Amino acid sequence: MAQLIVDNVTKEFPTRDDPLVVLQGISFQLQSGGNLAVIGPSGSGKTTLLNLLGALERPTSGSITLDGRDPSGLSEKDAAAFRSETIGFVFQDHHLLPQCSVLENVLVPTIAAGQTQPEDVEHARHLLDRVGLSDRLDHRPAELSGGQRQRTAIARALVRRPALVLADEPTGNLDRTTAGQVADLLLELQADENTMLIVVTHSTTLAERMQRRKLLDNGRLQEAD
Amino acid sequence: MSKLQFVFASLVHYGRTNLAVAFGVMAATAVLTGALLVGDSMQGSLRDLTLDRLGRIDQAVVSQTFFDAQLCDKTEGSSDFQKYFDAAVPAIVLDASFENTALDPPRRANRVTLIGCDERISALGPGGPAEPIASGQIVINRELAKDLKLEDEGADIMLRLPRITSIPADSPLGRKDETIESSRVKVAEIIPSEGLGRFNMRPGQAVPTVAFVPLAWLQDRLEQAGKVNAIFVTGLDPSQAAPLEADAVLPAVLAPQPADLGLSIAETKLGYFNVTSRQMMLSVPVESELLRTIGDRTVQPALTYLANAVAVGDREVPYSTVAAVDFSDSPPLGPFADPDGKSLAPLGDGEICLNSWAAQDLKAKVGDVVRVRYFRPESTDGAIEETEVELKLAAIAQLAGAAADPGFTPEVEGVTDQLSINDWDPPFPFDARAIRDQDETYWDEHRATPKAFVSLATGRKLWGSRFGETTSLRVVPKEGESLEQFTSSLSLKPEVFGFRFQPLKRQGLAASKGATPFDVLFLAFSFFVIIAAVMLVLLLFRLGIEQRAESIGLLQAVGLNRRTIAGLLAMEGLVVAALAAAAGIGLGVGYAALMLLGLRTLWLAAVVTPFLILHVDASSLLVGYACGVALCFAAILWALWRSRQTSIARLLGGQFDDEAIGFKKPWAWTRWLAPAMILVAIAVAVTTRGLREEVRAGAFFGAGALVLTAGLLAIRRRLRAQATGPAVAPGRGNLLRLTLRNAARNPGRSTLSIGLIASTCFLIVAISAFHFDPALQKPRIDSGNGGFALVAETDQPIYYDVNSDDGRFDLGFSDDDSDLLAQTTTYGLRVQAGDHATCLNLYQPRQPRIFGLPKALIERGGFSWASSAAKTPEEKANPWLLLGKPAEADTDGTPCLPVVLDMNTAVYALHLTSGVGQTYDVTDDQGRTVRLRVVGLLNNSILQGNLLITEEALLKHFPQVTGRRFFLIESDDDRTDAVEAAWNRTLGDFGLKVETSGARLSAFLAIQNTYLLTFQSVGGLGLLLGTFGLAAVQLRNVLERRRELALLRAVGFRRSTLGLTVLLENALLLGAGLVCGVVAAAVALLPHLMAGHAAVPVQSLALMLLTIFVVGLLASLFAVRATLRAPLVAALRGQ
Repeated sequence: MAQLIVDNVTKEFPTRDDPLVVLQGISFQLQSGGNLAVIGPSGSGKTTLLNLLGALERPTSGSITLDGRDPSGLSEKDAAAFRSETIGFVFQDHHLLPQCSVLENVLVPTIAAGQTQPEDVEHARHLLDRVGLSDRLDHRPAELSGGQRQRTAIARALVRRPALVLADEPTGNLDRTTAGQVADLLLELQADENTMLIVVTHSTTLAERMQRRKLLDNGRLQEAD
Repeated sequence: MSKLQFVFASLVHYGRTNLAVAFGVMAATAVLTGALLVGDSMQGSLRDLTLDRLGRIDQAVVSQTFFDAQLCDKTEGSSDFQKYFDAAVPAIVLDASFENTALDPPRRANRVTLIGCDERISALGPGGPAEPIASGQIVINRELAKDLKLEDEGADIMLRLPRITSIPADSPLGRKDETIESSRVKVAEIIPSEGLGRFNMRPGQAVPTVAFVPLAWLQDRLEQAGKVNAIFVTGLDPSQAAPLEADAVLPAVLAPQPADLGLSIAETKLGYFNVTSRQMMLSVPVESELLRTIGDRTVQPALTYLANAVAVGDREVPYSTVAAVDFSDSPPLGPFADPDGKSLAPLGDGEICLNSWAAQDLKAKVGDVVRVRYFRPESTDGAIEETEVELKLAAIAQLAGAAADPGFTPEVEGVTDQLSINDWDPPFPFDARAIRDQDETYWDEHRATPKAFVSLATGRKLWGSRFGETTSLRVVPKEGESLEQFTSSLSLKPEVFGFRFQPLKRQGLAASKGATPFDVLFLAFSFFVIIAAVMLVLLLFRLGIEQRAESIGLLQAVGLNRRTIAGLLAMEGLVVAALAAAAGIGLGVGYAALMLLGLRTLWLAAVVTPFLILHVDASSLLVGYACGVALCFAAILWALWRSRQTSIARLLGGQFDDEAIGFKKPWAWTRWLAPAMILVAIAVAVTTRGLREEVRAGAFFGAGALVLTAGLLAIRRRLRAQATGPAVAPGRGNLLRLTLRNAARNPGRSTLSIGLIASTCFLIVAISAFHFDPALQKPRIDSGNGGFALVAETDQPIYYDVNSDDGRFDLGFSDDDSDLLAQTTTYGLRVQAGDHATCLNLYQPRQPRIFGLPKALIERGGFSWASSAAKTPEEKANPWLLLGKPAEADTDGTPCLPVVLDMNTAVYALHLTSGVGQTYDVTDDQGRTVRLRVVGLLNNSILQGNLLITEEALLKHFPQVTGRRFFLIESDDDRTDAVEAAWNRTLGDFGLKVETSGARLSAFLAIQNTYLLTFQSVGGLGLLLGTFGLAAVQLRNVLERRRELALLRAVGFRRSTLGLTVLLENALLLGAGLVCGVVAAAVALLPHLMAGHAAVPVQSLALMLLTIFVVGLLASLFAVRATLRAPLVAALRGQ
């Protein structure tokens, strides 16, 4: 069973004067099948935390261990491989490649792995079926609605069967109904795939649907309830 | 904040982007200005060269005959002369050849300008002999020393001069052998080839060979004591030509005496004035001029000719003169009386009158048939032909009074000046054994008094020739008129007698404008660089405004209308263009200097001599600046216009383009467009084979353009249809698939990039294929060498036929050489001297050399024809036949002579761009205009630089041309070297230059090949700039896709992998462009390759294309770098 252990993580950014401390003493754990919402006001460091968890940035101190591996000490090449193998991303803006079809967009992460296997294609089709886009496989992003694009992005995040899915305001650009549908899908698929899910959001509606909720305020993480 | 402040704030804020745009503007302006400056430099350098080689010389008077040197002093003393000129310096100017016999084999230098001068030469300007030259010594320029391999002064060299003769060699009384005078001279000084040391009457940038000898010594060698054949006149201001009105001064003040014009006027015992010529014959124009000036005096023209024999029955009188004259009744020209004292009636056609001595000797009586044997009045190739005419004896004249006048016969050196007939040294076959005692007695008593008379009409019919039809004009003086009075009353135009008044400086400066407009040429060469630079400006400026899409959206959102925003951006662009173009001018000077350096070194063959120096003309800078700003500003406006449609929302989102939004299905019919165009291209290429050169050139570019467009259309269609295969598929190779899909993301942009590379590549490949070496080409009748293995030219004419055994014997060939040459066929051409008009001369020629083609050569045919006016099958098979047919008269009724010339000469030297049918005027021997009509154009031929007419036409208009000086030699391959050696061995004294036709063509084509190389090099520069444009497109793509790239990195792509995709995409576009260009060139070249007119230099071309590919990839590293440095997190957050 995969496990995420965040231990006393601090993140500082250098400024002209003293370093700006964005995150301070962040610690928590998460198991496979578990999910967590991180909420907090703008500028509280939510996205920075997500970037640290996603190995897009390195913590100033502390450690983040996913499935027994700490990516902070990895080279750029290994960090990229680590992300490819263990982490899936869903962003507020879907970031789909406009020149690729829906199916191709979902399969893009498999290119990073070096070779796309037939089972990857099958899995991508399965995920797209699960998100209700089986009849849109060859469509371009420009031909999809906002909700459909975000559902494609969710399928893309899961195609490599990651241990951890990180979602940054996944419903931020959607209307209430669509946002609800996308949230449902996200949670269903997380359960199906038995992966960990961390959602950074302003939306209390979305946060309330998570098993756990934490509030990030002034760089410190505390229980939201 | 004012608009201006806003513009300047933007200029500073977007400094880096503006700097990039500025580089593009600078490149465009620099190339434009540079090209114009190359043109300026060419003209300026040619002008400098003209002023240098002429020194203070402004005008020259050159005569075909030698005249009294004192004429110079008389001219100089005239007040009109002093108003415009400074000094008049007499000289002898001749073409001579030299031989350094100290070397083995001897070194020969031909076509050397030999100047016989005295101390007055220093008045002509600097650079001449430093000290007066001692008799028997010579001063030569460095170029001649180099040709003769002379290192030091003091060496002896052999000088060969033409022997000056009055009577044309092509007449029986003209000398055909011993035409060369050899003298050994000591080199006193070797002067630099500068100033007078590179003096040349004819404009040319190649360094001429010049030699100076003492005037008196040369006069002595030529047996022309006190005489010269040229006067050089210096101007008041050496830096410019005398004003136009000064041209009339010299003809007006120069007052040559009849003797200076080759005339002799003597008062005879009978009391008339006898006007004769040193050339024996008075030419038709000279006779007309004399008759004009003699006015209303009674004149009796006479033509006296030498009969080899006058016979009646079996009796004959050898070597007698026969006068053709219409009898006059009254003194002093008459009367002619019979033995009974009765005046003789005029003779009719076919009638003859013997004098009483001849009639008695022949025992002839009126009514007898008199046979007159004589040589035909014109000889060809030294073959003097004897013929006979039968005339009816109509009368016998008393050998008294007018009939006993030795004045009928003009003085002929070696004949009339001999005491005895046996002492005659005539140039014709002479049988002294035929001379009898009574003939010697007659000679003693009556000298060359005619023994027979015919009517003037009969005489002219028998003995008239191109040299004239009168030997003397017998003038009855006015009452009491003395010979001096008569002579001084004659006002003869010297031009008619072969005097040429040449405003050398004005002509030279006019010719400095050049035969080739180098500014236009280099603008054409730089065309692709300019296009690439402007496209770069377009791309970079658009990139700049796209970078600030959000700001533009914001400005619109806060209420500024599009027009105002566009105005602000345009103003910013204009400021950038204006400032950058100013800097570009400076770069342009550098670019021009670089091009000139190329022309002095790498491309030297294009200009022959490294004489070019940079000349900067302010007007060119201004034009370059204005054009640079205008072109680039137009590109900027275009970029603005293209971006006018983007919505505010998209702008605020930082986006400009809509093209990549989704899939667009192409129209079905476009599927067939590309194949159809390829079919049309093939049809064009095939059907235009064998048509005129212009048509084929058009077809070449047309077919190429069609294939290119078809390729680009096909690519664009596939890209638009996103028909590039799946972006992701099971297995490996997905990175390449994704790259392909990326290229299809913006079909227009990708196709444009491919098109830019492809079109430049097409030209480079196509042009390289026309770069070929004719030296490797074997003689072939339908090629530029016309099937001739060798081409020979001589300084002095050759009067014998090299094809005949006798001719070779007379020329002095050894038996072995003669046997060797018997296996070759030589066609000798007549040559009327003229300006050097091949592409080797950059000056604009005034009147090129004219060649008279013998009938045999015309009938033989051959050569490669670019176009002709041939209509009948015979003419089409041999367009030379057109020379023998009358050409269509000009629209104003002026008759035209048909002429053929090389297309390069027609187009580049004479600017006869309309080709066949166009007319061109030349001036004949007497200064009259002769209009030529082009009936055919040769293709890259060994006859380049000359106007080709029939021999008959040449001799009609230039009767003074004698002998042959240009030879085309047919020989088997294996004998070529031996034949060349044989010619050199025997005819070296004639100033022979013999070379293989391949070598001659190579020299001509070196220019064309160098132009092609220049075009290729500058085109390559354009292609490189195009690759930078491509890199700019890639950079723009990367910036556009920065969020997608960030996403890819987030999902596990390494930076290097993403960099590789960008590099691969660039490689794909580059490769597609190169392939498209090469394929298009291959199709366009196919007919030329099949016909053997083109050859692809595969290795060098592959190297060039590979270099461009690699440089293109290196240029795209900018985009790769941008990819690698893209901030991941910020991009993901849309910042």
